[in-house]
Amino acid sequence: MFSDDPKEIGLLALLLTIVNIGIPYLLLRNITAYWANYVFWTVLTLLVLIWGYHRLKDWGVPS
Amino acid sequence: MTPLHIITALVLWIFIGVVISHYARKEIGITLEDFYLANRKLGGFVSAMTYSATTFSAFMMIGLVGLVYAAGVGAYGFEMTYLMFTIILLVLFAPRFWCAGRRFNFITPSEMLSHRYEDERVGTIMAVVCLVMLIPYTSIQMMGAGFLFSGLTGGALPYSSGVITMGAFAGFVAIWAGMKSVSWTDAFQAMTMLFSAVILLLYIIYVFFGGAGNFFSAVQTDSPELLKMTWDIRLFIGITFPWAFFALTNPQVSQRMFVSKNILSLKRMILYFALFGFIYTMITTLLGFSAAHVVPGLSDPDGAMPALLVKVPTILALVIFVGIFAAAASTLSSISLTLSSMITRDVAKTVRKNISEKGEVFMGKVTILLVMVVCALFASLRLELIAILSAMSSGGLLVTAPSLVGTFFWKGGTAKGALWSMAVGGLITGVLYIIAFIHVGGVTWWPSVIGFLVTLLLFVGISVNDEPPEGTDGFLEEVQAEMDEHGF
Repeated sequence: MFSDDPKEIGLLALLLTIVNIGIPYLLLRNITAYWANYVFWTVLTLLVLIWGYHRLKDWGVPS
Repeated sequence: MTPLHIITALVLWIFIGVVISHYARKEIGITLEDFYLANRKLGGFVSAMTYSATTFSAFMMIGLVGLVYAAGVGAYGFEMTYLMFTIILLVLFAPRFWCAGRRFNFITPSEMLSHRYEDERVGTIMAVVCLVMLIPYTSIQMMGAGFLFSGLTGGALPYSSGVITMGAFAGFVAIWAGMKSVSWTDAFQAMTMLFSAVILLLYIIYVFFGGAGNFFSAVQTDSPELLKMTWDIRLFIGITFPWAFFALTNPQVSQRMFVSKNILSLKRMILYFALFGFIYTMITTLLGFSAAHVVPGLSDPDGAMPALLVKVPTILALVIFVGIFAAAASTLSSISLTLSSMITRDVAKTVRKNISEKGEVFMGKVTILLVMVVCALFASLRLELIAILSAMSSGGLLVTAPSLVGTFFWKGGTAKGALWSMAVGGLITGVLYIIAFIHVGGVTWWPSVIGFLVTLLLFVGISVNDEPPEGTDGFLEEVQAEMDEHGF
């Protein structure tokens, strides 16, 4: 998940696109509660933020 | 609110901004890098705050609050989608922009394209596309100030006074000390935006709902439809798609990938911005939900925030007003500075090659002034069309994405491909937006998607039938060498 390869980051972006549209429209569409769409996007964004942090933390550290 | 309230709050706040700009001026030299990039020496916190304040305009507290008020959680999804893709784009592109900028002394993203594709017309076309697409978006910031001034004082302060105050302050900040001044005042403005929004949300939750638990249950009980995904899927894709590429295609933010003083600053810029965006988006969304409960039944969703402000004590409303003004002013000064750098470096410099560095800085300052005047004129017309032109900016700027991605990730990309895709793609996208506006009467999903596909096809189709620039391998090897040297 924390790869340096741009192709893997591209794949992650594609996967994110599918999940980001698929889950709200297929699974959560008619649920009128916070735990549905609101929590979904909050958690998904947090996961991307954590992913970003893990990618950033090794910048500037010689391999 | 009386005009005296507004004027007093703004005078105090602008005074602080001017003092910050004045001290920033003492810190800068006379070179182009000093003026446009703060000599590539911004620290992590200031880089992050200028990135945040530039990205998040008055749209968040007015437009997004209104969008949540009217269309519910889909607006939250739209804004969070933007944030997620921005983090991914920054992880992928920030090291490359930063290293290329240092290696080749690029001032503007368009200058980088000219170098990579070995044709300065590529940078010129990109600069022109950005100018055309960003002027309406920039004017919207001034219009927002005009509507706030007149709306909050019941017309006692005229619309034009808001437009002029906004233009004068943002123009001064940009001209006085360039990026140093803009970034320092942006840091102040970002803090103003965030803290004012937090205070308002806490006030509303505790005064109108009696606590966080009551707030969440009240929204879920009284306005359950806001928590449903009611957006048409095509509209969701059509609106989020161009915004997902914002970090790459909007030069006022992509230029900020050049400015960090070291790798630690670059890392902090991305991380702090991501945290800022996450918190700020959550707050503005919750404000939208709260507005649906506190001020229900508004016919104009954009009036949700002004209606909320009427319900809170004047002092708090003034703090929020200043926060919204700050959000618009920071976006305006940043865009004007970036457009000035692109017009100077990528348009004027190609015509008058022997212009001195001092002359370029002077020309840049004059350009900022011109951008402000043009935007103020646009804003004073109060065109209905400006809303569609502003929406077009994100879709229109998307035509630069294939060439920008190709700069680092496709050796086969050529100058002809970049030139024609941006010129023809930009024109087609613009026409599609106007056709959609005439037929639908508003924003719809397909102009940005079709415009992008046409642009991509042009870029790839023309490039594969052309010879790539001779220096492509050399450029990419040098960028990679710089990245290896810095441990990316």
